[in-house]
Order: sequence, then structure tokens, then C-alpha cells
Amino acid sequence: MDALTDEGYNDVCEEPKNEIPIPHWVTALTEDQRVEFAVSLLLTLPTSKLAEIHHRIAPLLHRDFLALLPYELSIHVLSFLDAQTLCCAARVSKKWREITSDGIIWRRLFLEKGWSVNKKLVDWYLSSYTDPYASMILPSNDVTNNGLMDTGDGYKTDSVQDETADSELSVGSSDESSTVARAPRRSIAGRNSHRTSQCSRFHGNNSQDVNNTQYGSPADFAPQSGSPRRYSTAGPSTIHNTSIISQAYSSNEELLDSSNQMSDTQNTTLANQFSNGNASSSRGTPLRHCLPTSTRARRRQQVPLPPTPIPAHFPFPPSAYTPYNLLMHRNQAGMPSINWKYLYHQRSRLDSKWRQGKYETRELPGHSESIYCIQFDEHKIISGSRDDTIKVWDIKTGYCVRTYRGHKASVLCLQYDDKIIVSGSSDATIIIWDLATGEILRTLEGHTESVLNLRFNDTHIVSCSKDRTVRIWRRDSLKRPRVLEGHRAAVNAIQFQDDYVVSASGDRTIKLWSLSTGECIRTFDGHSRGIACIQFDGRIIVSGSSDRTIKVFDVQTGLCIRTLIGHEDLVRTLQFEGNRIVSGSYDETVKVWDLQSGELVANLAHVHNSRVFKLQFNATKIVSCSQDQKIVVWDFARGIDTTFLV
Amino acid sequence: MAGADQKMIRLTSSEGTEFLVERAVVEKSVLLKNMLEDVGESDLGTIANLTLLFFFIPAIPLANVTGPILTKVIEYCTHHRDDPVVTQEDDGRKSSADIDDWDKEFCKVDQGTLFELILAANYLDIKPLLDLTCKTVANMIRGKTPEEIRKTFNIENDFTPEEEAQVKKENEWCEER
Repeated sequence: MDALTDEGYNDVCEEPKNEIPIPHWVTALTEDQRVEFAVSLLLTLPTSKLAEIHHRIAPLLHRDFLALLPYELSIHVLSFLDAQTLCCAARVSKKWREITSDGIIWRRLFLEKGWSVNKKLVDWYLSSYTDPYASMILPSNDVTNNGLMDTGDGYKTDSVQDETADSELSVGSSDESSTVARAPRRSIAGRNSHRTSQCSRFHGNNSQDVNNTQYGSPADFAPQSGSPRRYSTAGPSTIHNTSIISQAYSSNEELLDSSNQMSDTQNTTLANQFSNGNASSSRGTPLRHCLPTSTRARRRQQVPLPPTPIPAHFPFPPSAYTPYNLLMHRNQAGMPSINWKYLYHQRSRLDSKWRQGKYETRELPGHSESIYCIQFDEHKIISGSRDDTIKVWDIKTGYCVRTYRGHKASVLCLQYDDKIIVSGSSDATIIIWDLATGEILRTLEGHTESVLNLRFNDTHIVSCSKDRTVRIWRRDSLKRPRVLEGHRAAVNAIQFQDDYVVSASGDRTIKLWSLSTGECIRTFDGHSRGIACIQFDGRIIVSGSSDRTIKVFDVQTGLCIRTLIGHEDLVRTLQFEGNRIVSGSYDETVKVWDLQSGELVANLAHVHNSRVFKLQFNATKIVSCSQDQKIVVWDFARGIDTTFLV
Repeated sequence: MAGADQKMIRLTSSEGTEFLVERAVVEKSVLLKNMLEDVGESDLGTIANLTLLFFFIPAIPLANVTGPILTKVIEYCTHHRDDPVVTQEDDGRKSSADIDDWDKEFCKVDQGTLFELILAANYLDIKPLLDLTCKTVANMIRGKTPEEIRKTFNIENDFTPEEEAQVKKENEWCEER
């Protein structure tokens, strides 16, 4: 109230015209005296007037902190807030909206969640074009000549366009080349669906992928286009696709068979997907001016043809990385800048899809027997089956692109990296394959019964077997493995990290061994029946058992810290990452659990109709395989922009 | 306090009011601590505006801080004089719930004062006070609707109805969780 007589504030307050100057004797009073004077004065007024005064001085008592503080201090204030509050605050005013969108705040929130981004892609993107003007101006010239024209009749000019791309040496812009690239791809999709009309539900998805890539196969606007990137022109991608298809035709009958089995509803969904894919494809056109591009000419001839169509180096960045999505990640000057609020939004949507169990499934039929093991990455799935083969699948199209034969019995386990596949079999051998060619590099013999599980890193291969042993093979001398004995039944699962090897056995125990000395450090008891699967991260062990439970053990104390109950049969496979456990069971379901609370988050049932043998998941999907001869991709990312997230 | 030994520092507010403060309290401010260290004990007299009364006591003029605010800052630093020094790395876990009662009471001031305190804490580089005051503002934002936030800080809604609908749509996703 003293504000009324506070000189310091007079100019702030909007005084009415009939202003009365404050007498000198009042200003001469001390502050306390003026307060007393003002109060006495106010008490002479009716309450209606007091309310008016209150209304007039109220603004003096408020500060719009975010608007008035220096920017970095406003950010500091906001750094104490959560996502929900920030979203609410964004709606306050224009200024608040701007400040609450700051990348620093959202990046911190994002990382605090334990979420990660594809750092390789982010780095690539941020360094992708230093000169925004070059990329904005140059492409548009070329594009108007070629690219835009092409979009109109992309469907019919495919083969011609293909040749043009081949002969035309300078394919100047991403827009252009992507359009060029699209034509043949489209034609392939077309041809394809022609021949194997409704081959499998994957064709629906295939068209979507084509749609994705056409926005610019991302390599097209790679910063160093001088460096050979296989997918950077239409030619190689065509070759790639064709070869995939020719591969696919080898298993064509199988595909057709499976399509016959498809129910009508599934077909309808497919049709929808397909048409969606087409519909959205036309959307690409107006965006092309904004595409980040490399402007250097690329010579078709300079791009070396891949030695094999798959899989040593899949395109980088992956095709899901479309310019449309990149538009979200610009600052006001049009420069690359990660929009962390947007990323946070997409990632949190993805999380809620997992929580709500909202997914879409795709199936990869192709093996003629049970499938025991799978591993996947963003480009491919590799599976091992009771039909003695290993198959490599293109995860986008669902085509089987390779079949490797060599084992004389079921392939029970496998792991791959950039160069090799290592697989274990019922024939008691381990085979090391060249990933790209399928050549058998080494066959490891030593186990006397089925090799049930194996893991490898740069230095070691560790395998376990029905013969009750664990073997540690040094990669540099694969001759004499160290043999770990101690389990009283088959060793079903193995994991190792640093110097620790963890094994799980049908004898109901888990053992922790030293990799270097072979000593058994600790034995974990807790399960009441045999243990089928484990994962170990150095801190905890999560195990799945025939007693139908999943248990979490603390490695340091050896204590069981959590038991997850819900499966109705043996828990055959599991993986955990962050706070999420995903498990697969003989009860034909895949279940998602919360590691902290131990609660069942989602139950994925009625897709596999036999025992689930193996699964793997990442941020967007689970891939599982089963005795029912199917590989199922459970995709949680429908409608979510996963650019930079995977 | 009045024992005029070498451990006392004189601070002068923007209006010229002088405050006699123990060096240990003053050194809660990284700015002043560095200043005192840079100058060194013996040289302090040269930058000081010496008076007869406090002949041996150096004075530091703080042109950006008013008397009432400096009073508050000294109150805070005196109360927290024995707190361990918080390292920069320490703010991994940011939560605004952990404000103790004294600090909470300390921050029960009008918005104008709080605003000035933030600026002063930033200028004088007193990290715990800056965090405390910023947390206090954050707590004033948390849990409110946009309209309530506007009311709290007397902010005008400068969105057009269309913009408001748009910005609502943009930010709704957080509520569906």
C-alpha cells in the first residue's frame, strides 16, 4: 500500500490526469512515517475506492520474470521445471512460448529420462551443411528442370529415368536424385506387386518405405558426396532393390503360401497401408526446396558397385531419415539445429505406446521350421532355424535376402557384428560366417552336445552347451578353449561382460565366473526349476525360468531383488534395457515389464501361436521368433517420427 | 562484528549505504572472493574509499545492488556462511522440492524483491542463492494453468484466438500422459 506514496514508483503507475502533487512535508517524512500516513489516508476511503486503488497498484507488485530476466537466467528458472509444466507455460504468452521451447532445457529433460539419440546421425546432420544458401539456391535450379517435372509422371518414366540417371553424370541435388531414385523404386514396387500381386503384407510396408526414401534417400544430401555412398544415386539403389527381389523370388512360393493364409482383415489393413503410402508420397513435392542438399556433382560411375547387395554397409543415414522430418530440426536462420522439444515429444509418445501396448505387427514367413534365434539392427534381421539355415532379412521390406547353409542340424543360437555371424547348432559345432558372403570362415568343434547359446566380442567367444560346460574361445587362437565345469545340467544361456561370465543352467542355478581365470565366483540360487535365459549388465542379472517367473539378482550381493510373475509357462527369452524388460515364453506371449516396479506393462498375445523362442527389442520395436515358424516385428512407432531416435 | 580486524570488508550499495561484513560472509560471493584474492590483502587499501572510522577496512562499491537487496543478500550469506562450497558439477539432479524452511521463509518477499535478488545473486555469483531464488520462481509456475500463471505474474495474453488454439494444440501432448 505504501506504493501509493513511494516516489520511486510514481512513473510506473499510470496516473490519472487530475494528479495531485505530494506536499513537501510528506516527502520529507521517513519511509515508516509515510507508510503510516498512507494507511491513515486510505482508511478514510470507502472500500469501493480501496478496491480501485488495489486494482491500480497491483501491477506494481508483479514481475513477468521470464520476460524481464536476462535470457540465461530465465532458462535457469525453467531448468527446475518438468515437461508438463513447460508445456503449460508455453501457452502463457508469445515470449513464454519462445523461452520454454529452448533446446537446452528439453535436451536436459530428454537425457534425464535415460533416453538416447542416434548420435552418429545427429552429428552427421549438424555438420551436414555449413552453407545454407548453397543448399537452398542450387538445388532449385536443377529441380525445376528435372526433379519437379519428374514427380508428375514418376510412375511411367521409370525405366527411361533410370537410364537418364545412369548416363547423366552430374546429379546435382538430393531432390533431383531422390526423385530419380524414386522412379525406379516405384517401378519395382509396381512390378513386384504385379507379379506377386498380394505377396505378403510386407509389400504394403514396402510401399511406405519407398515413400520414405523418395523424400530423398538421405545419403543423397550427405555432406561429402564425393565419398562413395552406395545409395546416393538411383543406379545402385535400383541394383540393390532388384537383387533383393531376385533373391526374394527364390522364396517366392513361400511368400505366396503365406499370403493365402492371410485373413481378410489383414488384407484390408494392408490395402489401407498401401494406399496411405501412396497418398502421402505426393506430399513430398512442395517440400523439396527446403531439403538439405549437397550440391556437388556426383558421377554415377564413381560410385562403386557393392560387392554384394547386402549387408556389409547399409545406407547411411538410413532411409527413415527424411527431409520432411528434418524440417522440424531447423533454427530460425534455417540452419540445422536439433529441436529437442520435438524429440522429447516424439520419444514420450513412443513410451506411452509401449505403456499402452499399442503396436502393429508384421510377419516374416520364410523358414520351413521353428525359428530358434534372431538378432536385428535398423536394416536387417538374421535368424537361425530348425531347418538348419541362417536367413538374412531386409527389415524394411521383409524380404529374405540371404540364406546360409552349413550346419548339419538346427541353428540354436547366433550373434553377429559388422563382419561376422557366429552361430551354434545342435550338431555341436560353432560356425563363424562372413556376414556379407555367407562364407564359412571357421568351424569350432569341442562341445560334445548341442551348443545352446553363445556370445562374442572383439576378443572372445563364449559358448555353452547341453554337455554342461561353458567354453571360452580366444578369437586370436581358436584352438583350445577354456572349459568351465560346474553345472550339473545343460547350460542354457550365457552372457559376458568385462571379466565376468554369467551362465544359467537347467540345474536351477546361475553361476558367475571370471573370464580370465575360469574361476566360479558366485552361484545364484532362487529359481525352483531350470533357467532358460539370462541377461547381465554388470550390475544385475535378470533370468527367466521354467518355474514361470523372471527374477532380478544383484550381482554384488547375490540376492534376488525382484520376482516378476505373470507368464503361464517357461520363460524362454528376455532382454532388459533401461527400465524395461521384455520376455517371451512357451505360453505364446511376449510381455513387457517395468523393471523398477516389477509390474506387467503390456501383454502381447495372440500373434504367435506357438512357443516364443527368442526376442530382441530397441526403442521402437520388438522382434520375436517362435516355434510357429514366424518372425514377428512388433512396431510401436506407428505415426511417430523416430528421426534421430533410433 | 564490529571488531575492526582484517577480516572485515566494507560493501557499499548503489545508494552509497555502507555495510560492514565479515570476510567469510563476503566470500560466499564468488565475484567478491575472486576480487579479494586478486587484489591481495595488502593492496586492498588502494581500491578502498577510506574513511577515518574504518581506516583499515577496505570498501567495495557495488553499483548494481541497492541497499535493501544487499541487506537481504548479506542475511542469506550470513546464515549460510558455513555451508560447504557446492561445485559446478553438482547440479545433475535438479529438483525444486528440497528447499529448507529458513530458505523458504527467506524467499517470502514480493516479486520485485525476488527479481532483484536473482539479478544480485547472478551479479555477485552466489550460486546457491541464485538456485534458491530461481527455484522459488519455478515453484510459482508449477501446477498452474496458463491463465493462473498470467494472473500470478500479471502477464497479458498476447495470442490471438487462433494462435492460442494453435499453441494449445502444440502443447497438449504433455497432458495426455
